Amino acid sequence: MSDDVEPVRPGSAHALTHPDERPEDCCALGALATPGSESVAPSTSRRRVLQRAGAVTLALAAAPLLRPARAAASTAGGSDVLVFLFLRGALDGLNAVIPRGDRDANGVPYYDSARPRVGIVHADNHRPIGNGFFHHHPALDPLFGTGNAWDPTTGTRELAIVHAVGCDTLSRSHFDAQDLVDKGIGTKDHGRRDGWVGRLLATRAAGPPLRALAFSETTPLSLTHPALQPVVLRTLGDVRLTTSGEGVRTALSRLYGGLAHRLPIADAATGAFGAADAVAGAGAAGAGYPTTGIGPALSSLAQLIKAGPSVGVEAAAVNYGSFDHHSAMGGERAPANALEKWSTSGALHTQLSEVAKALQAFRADLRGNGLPGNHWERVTVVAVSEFGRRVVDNEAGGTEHGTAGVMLVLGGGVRADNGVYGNVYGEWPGLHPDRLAGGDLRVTTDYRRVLYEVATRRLGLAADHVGTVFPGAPPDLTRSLGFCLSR
Amino acid sequence: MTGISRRRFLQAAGTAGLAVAAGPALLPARAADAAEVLGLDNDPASHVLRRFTFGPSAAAVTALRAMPGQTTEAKVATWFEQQLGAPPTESPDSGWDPVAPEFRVTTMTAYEAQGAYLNNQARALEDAQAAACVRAVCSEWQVREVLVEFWSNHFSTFGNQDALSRWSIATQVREVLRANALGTFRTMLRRSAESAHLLNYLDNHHNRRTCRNENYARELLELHTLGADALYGRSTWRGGVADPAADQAAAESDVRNAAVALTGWEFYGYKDKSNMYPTYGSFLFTAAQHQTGPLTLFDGEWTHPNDTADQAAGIALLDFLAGHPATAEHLCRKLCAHFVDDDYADPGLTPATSGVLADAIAAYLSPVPSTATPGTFWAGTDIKAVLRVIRASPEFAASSGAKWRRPVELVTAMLRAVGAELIVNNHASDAANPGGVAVRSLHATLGHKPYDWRTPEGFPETWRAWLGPGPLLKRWNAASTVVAGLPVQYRDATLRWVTVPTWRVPTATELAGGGSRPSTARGVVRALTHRLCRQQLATDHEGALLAFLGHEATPDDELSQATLDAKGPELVRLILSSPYFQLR
Repeated sequence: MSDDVEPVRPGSAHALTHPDERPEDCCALGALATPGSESVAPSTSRRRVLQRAGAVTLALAAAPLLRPARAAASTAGGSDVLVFLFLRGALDGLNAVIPRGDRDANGVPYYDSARPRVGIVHADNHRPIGNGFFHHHPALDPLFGTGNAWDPTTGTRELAIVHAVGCDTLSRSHFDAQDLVDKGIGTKDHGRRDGWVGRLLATRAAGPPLRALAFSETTPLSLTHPALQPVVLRTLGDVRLTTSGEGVRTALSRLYGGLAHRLPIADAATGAFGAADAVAGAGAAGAGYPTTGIGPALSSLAQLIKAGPSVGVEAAAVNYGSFDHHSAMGGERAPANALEKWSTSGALHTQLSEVAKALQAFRADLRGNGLPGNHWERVTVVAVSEFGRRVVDNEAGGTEHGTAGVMLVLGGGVRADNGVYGNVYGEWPGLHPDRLAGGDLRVTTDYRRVLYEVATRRLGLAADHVGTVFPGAPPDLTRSLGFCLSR
Repeated sequence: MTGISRRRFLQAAGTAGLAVAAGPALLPARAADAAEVLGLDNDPASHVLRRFTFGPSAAAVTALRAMPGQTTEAKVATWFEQQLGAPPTESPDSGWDPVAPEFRVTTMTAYEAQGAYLNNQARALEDAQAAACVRAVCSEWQVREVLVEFWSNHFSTFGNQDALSRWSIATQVREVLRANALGTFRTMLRRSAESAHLLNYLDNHHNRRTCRNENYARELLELHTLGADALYGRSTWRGGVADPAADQAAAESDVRNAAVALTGWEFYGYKDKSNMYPTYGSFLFTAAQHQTGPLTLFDGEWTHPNDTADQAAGIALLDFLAGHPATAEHLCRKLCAHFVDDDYADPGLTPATSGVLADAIAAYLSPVPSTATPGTFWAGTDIKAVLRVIRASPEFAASSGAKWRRPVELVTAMLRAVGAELIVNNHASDAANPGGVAVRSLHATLGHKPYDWRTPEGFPETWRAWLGPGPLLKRWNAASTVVAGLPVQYRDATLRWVTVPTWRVPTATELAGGGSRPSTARGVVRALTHRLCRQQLATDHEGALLAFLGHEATPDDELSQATLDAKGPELVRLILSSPYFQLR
């Protein structure tokens, strides 16, 4: 070849009973009737039995305190839009949702003792949830209180928290653990290359090009499935073809078309053009989103959800992180003579705040701010992290890799009102040193129980497909937590 | 081959001979399929340039063809050896040296960079990223630069974490990665363990006698050396019955022991005022923070008394890890996945006993006498030896078209194929390195900006992560950007916005031969596909391009200059967007 030359030229406490004072090893948050709590919630186990029998009205009569909304629960079929929000890097569940009610013989929260450096300990920063056993991190304020997802004054119970979640074999490797959660399994499986959301969508009929979305740089494992072509984007602007020339699209289709059955991505060009056309039909962006973190992604996602069936969004994976705060994660400690609020600085506060504000805006946007067309009624957000962090903090003002973590579920169909501790579900394993496993909070709820409940009640997962979507699931997979309505 | 690797070899396959014979049959079907359907050129010269460089440029093709040797295979072998002879230094590099002065950060220590970029930390990182992007395009030592990118991802760090990370990324690339890209892994691992940039990213300055921090120790074992499979699933990895509970407990014990071995491995620069001294950003072993006491790792395979407050236990640990068969397998899987086929990343698809992977592992573990302790032998950990085995393997030869170009490879290959002339110096305005800024920006659009993956596992290698409808649109748009150029805006000295060009690209006419371009539509299409893809397209795909020109029914009619002028940019964009170019 005689070609050209090289290109470059120079040129938070009012705790009730403490777990330690109870007969059982663990206290089931949703099931235990503690002194004084009978008037708050009826015996959950009885209610559950009735629910299982399908006698919803009987259950209501037996439990007059349940809100009428539950009666109107069952609407006809269909499924919600799932937003699978993966908070990567192992979110510190103990600082996000703080077990201040878990106390030693002297009434001191174990949490305070374990976290001299990153604990949220100032009375000013106490944010009790329900009866106050748990408190939430100040950065989560946008999810609680007037007009927000959890607002007792208006009876809004659209935020459920499940604590001490994980799975038995959860590795302390970020990457192995993220793989497990993305795949929706409990044991490492090299041969499996599909994700739980992908398998769920694959049980349904084929859908429009934008049925599966991933707001990330690369395709997340959760959405991977041979029958699915998730559209990866950061904002809507990414999904268009820049061209001034006629015939470019036709030519590209032909250049890829003949290879459809041989290339690893089937019918790629058709998928790409379909996605571009669908995005072109989306409406205007909503207001109030933060410009950082997941703000732009949720804003774009809302635009597509509001477009309705013409776009046909079924699931979106949103990635955010890293929450791997081995140092300088923030928190607060009580100096001798000053009120120093560290909780409002530090990496954890910044990131949790971004997430909470974006979810607040997302919910308001989809509810239509009082306008007709409440899209929020058909949206469920599941926020998960790969594992939690060690109970005791480290010298660098951070935390090491732990085991059990916390999950959040928000949505128009969430009615998180039947837990003894308000909207916090799961069994609390306890922070007493004897109750820890290797310094870590024990896992009491398999994370797949949360996914299962959302999938069967909100996402239309039929009983005969459960084994497909959750292979190798634990025996208690179908044990209800009871935080959301059935469609 | 060491005893351990041979044992594994025999365990899984029954006999070594069988494993070798089974090699080619274990080839993923996809590779063959792609080559058959696409007719991707199996020419060894084009193939080696697509895999071991950032894409064939006209000059690279010319240089390879000028190598001594009677056959193309002989020329390729000579060219490859010449490339493996690249210096471990920044210079000489005939492609990079002329533009190097425009990227001063690349030669700076962290201390120098904080001085030069004191009020503009972000720029220190941006310049280092731009330098990586430009260097990939123009370096004479393409094989080394491909490895620099590979290792930057193996020892992945987030450049934008904090001030020190921004000021020290250039040093990390120069002294840890480039200096050892083609050396021994043992040395590179040791340098990485004494890199302020890496220790800062993975918190080892918080790993002290008084309180351990396991972040670095865990990633060292899981990502840098043994790999997650061996660390967390050792029973299975050794060919035994899975014992998850015992394996997990052993893994956590190993992480704790490794963290203890590395207590006190710190650096200057995280305490008050220390950036005032030239030692800023350099390694510091703090003996007072070293935790002593006997250590054991990997079920007693490694033990150390660790009875003195020095680096001895840490160094011995790093050497043990570098030469471990699990490390060999982990690294060779990654290298085979990078250079041959994605499937090598997956033990479920390619056992360690299969063909080129087994040979690569054996080459990595090939023993060399220890200079420190005469009479003892270390695994050679010779990166070059592994690359030679991979390049010469039948699996490599048969893998043409099996890999999708990741974004960084795609953008660079497009710029090299069209012969883009990057403008890295613009004295007419206050702009510096507009070409570098623009290429970096293009990488960012595709989600692959250097040193920008937040978590330590690095950017994904396989096509599953990178392909789909959204990314395809972005790839096609990137081709358009390459052809059109990406002008960037700057404020000049008077704070006025000025737009400056970033690269110049030859027109379609020039790419097709200029004044002596073929006269017919088919001739022009073939000249362009040959120049850009180094091969001819299948009939229907050629037809798609001819149809775009309005000549599908009349391919042998003359293509008017007016038509070529009008449709040339999009025609080039289409070729760069086609699977022929997107695959490598």
